[in-house]
Amino acid sequence: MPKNRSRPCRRLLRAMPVSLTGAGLLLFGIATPALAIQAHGAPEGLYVHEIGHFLYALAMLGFTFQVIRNSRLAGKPGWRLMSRGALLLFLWNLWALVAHVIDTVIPARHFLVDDRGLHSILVLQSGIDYLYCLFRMDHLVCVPALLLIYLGLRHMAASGPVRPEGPADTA
Amino acid sequence: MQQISLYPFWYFDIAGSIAMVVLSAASMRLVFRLYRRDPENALNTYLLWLISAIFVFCLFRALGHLVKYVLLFSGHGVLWHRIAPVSGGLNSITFVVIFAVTIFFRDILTIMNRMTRDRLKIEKTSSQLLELNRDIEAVVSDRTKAEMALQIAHGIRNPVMVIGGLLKRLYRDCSPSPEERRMRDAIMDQIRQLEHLVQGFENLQMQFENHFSTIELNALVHDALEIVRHEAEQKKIALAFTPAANPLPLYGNQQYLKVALLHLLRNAIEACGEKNHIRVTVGQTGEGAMVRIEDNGPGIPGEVLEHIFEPFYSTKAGATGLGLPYVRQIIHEHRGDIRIRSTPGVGTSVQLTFPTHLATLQDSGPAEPPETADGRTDGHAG
Repeated sequence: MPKNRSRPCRRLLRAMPVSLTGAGLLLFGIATPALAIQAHGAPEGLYVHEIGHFLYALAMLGFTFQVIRNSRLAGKPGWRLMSRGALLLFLWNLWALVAHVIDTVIPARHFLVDDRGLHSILVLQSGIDYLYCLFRMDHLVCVPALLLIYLGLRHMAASGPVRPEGPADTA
Repeated sequence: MQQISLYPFWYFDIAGSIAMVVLSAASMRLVFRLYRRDPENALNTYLLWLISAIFVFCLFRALGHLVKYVLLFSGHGVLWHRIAPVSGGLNSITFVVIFAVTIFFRDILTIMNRMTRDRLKIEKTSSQLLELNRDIEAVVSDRTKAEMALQIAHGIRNPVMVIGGLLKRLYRDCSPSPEERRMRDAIMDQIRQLEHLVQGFENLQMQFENHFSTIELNALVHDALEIVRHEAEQKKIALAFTPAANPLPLYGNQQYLKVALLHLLRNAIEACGEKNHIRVTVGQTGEGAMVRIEDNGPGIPGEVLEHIFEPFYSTKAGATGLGLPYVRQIIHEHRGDIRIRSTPGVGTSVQLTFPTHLATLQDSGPAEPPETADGRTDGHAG
C-alpha cells in the first residue's frame, strides 16, 4: 500500500518546519564561544547589526527620495508626514550606528557598580562618556519618527485610496 | 570626577521602547485597514510589508530592552547575555527586510511608472489615430460627394440647356394656343427647377473649400511626428525635429496635410532600418514655408524615382501605389510643391514648399487637383 506507506513521510515533512524552528529556538541562547572551531566570531553579530542599520538608513532615504518624491505621492499631506518620519528614522539609524560604536569603545572601568550589583553609575572622565549619555537618548529621534509615520498613515486611511504610479505631480 | 546615575537613561529607554511598540502597533492597525480597502494596490502591499517589518523590529527591540532590564534588576544578567544575540539578530533581520522591500518596491514603482507612461502614450496615439481616421473618412466622404455632385451637375446641365434652347426655338416661329403656352411655361418651370438642382450640386462642391483654415506648420508637423514616433522607436530609428524659429501660418486643410505628412514619414520609417535617422525640418525659404524630411536610409533607385508619382506604380507588394500621387495631389491643392531627391545608399530628401501669401491664397482658394499625374524623373512635382 504505497498510500499508507507515504503517510509517515508526509507527517514527517509536515512536522519538519516545526521541528526545525524548535531546534533553532533551542540553539538560540546556548551558543557559547568555541574559538577553535567557530567560523563566525563574536564581532560578526555586531558587524551584521551595524550593516543592518546602514541598510535600514538607505531604505529610509530611498523611501523618501525615490518612492515618494518620484511618484505622484509627493506633496500629499499623509505622505509628507510619512516622508518626514522616514527621514527621522534615517537619522536614528545613523544615531544608533554611532551609539553602537561608542558602546564598543567606552572603557568598562568608567562604569561603577551600585548597591544592587548593576553597572548603573557612569564616571564622566572624558568626552566619550558625555557622547555615551547623549547617544543613549535615541528615543528622542525614533519615537517622533514613528509618531509621524502613524499620523501619516492615519491621514491616508482617512482620505481616499492613492495609487503611486505615474509621474510626480509638479503642480 | 563627576558621577551620574544611569537609571534615568534606563527609565527613558523603557518608556521609549513601550511608546515605539504602541505607535508601531497602531500603525499596523491602520496599514491593515488600508490594505483591506484595496489589496491589489501595490503601494498598500508595500506599506503592509514595511510597517510589519517596523512593527516586528519595535516589538523585538522593546522586548529585548524590557527583558534586559527585568533580568538585570532581578539579578539574572547572565541569562540576558544569552537572549541578547537572539533579540539583536532578529532586529538585524528586520532591517534587511525593510531594505529589501523598499528597494524592491522602488523598482516595481519604476516599472509601474513606465507602464503608466506607455499606457498613456498608447491611449493618446490611439485617440489621435481614431481622430485621424474620422477625419480621413470625412475627407473621403466630402470628396465622394463633391465628385458625384460634379458628375451629376455636368450630366444634367447639358441636356437641360439643350431642352430649354430647343423648346424656345420651337415656340419662337409659331403662335401657340393658350393651352400650348401654358404647357410650354410648365416645361420651362421644370427646366428652371432642374437648373436649381444643378446649382445645388455645384454648391456641394463649394462646401469642400470650407475645410481650409489658417494652420501653424510647426504644430502640424509636431503632431504628425508624435503619431509615428512610436513606430520609429520600435525600429530604433532616431527621429529629430527642428521647428522653424517663428510660427509659420499656412492657409490649408489641416487633415489633408497631416495625412500627406504621415504618409511621407511612414514611407521614410519603412525604408529606414535600425540606427538610421530621420530628420524633419520646418523653415522658410524664398519660395515659402518649407517642410523637409531627410533620412539616411537605402535611398530610391533612379528607375523608381522616375515613376514615383505615377498612380498605381508601387514597388511594395500589396500596395495600391496611390499614396504618393495622393500626397502630391494634396500638396497641389495647397498650391504647394513637392520635390524628392534620393541617392541610393546615401538617403532620401523630400521637400514640401507652400506659399505663405495667405491673403492671395485665401482669395483664390485651393487649387484644383490636376487632371493627370505627371511623375518627373527628378522626383519633382511642382
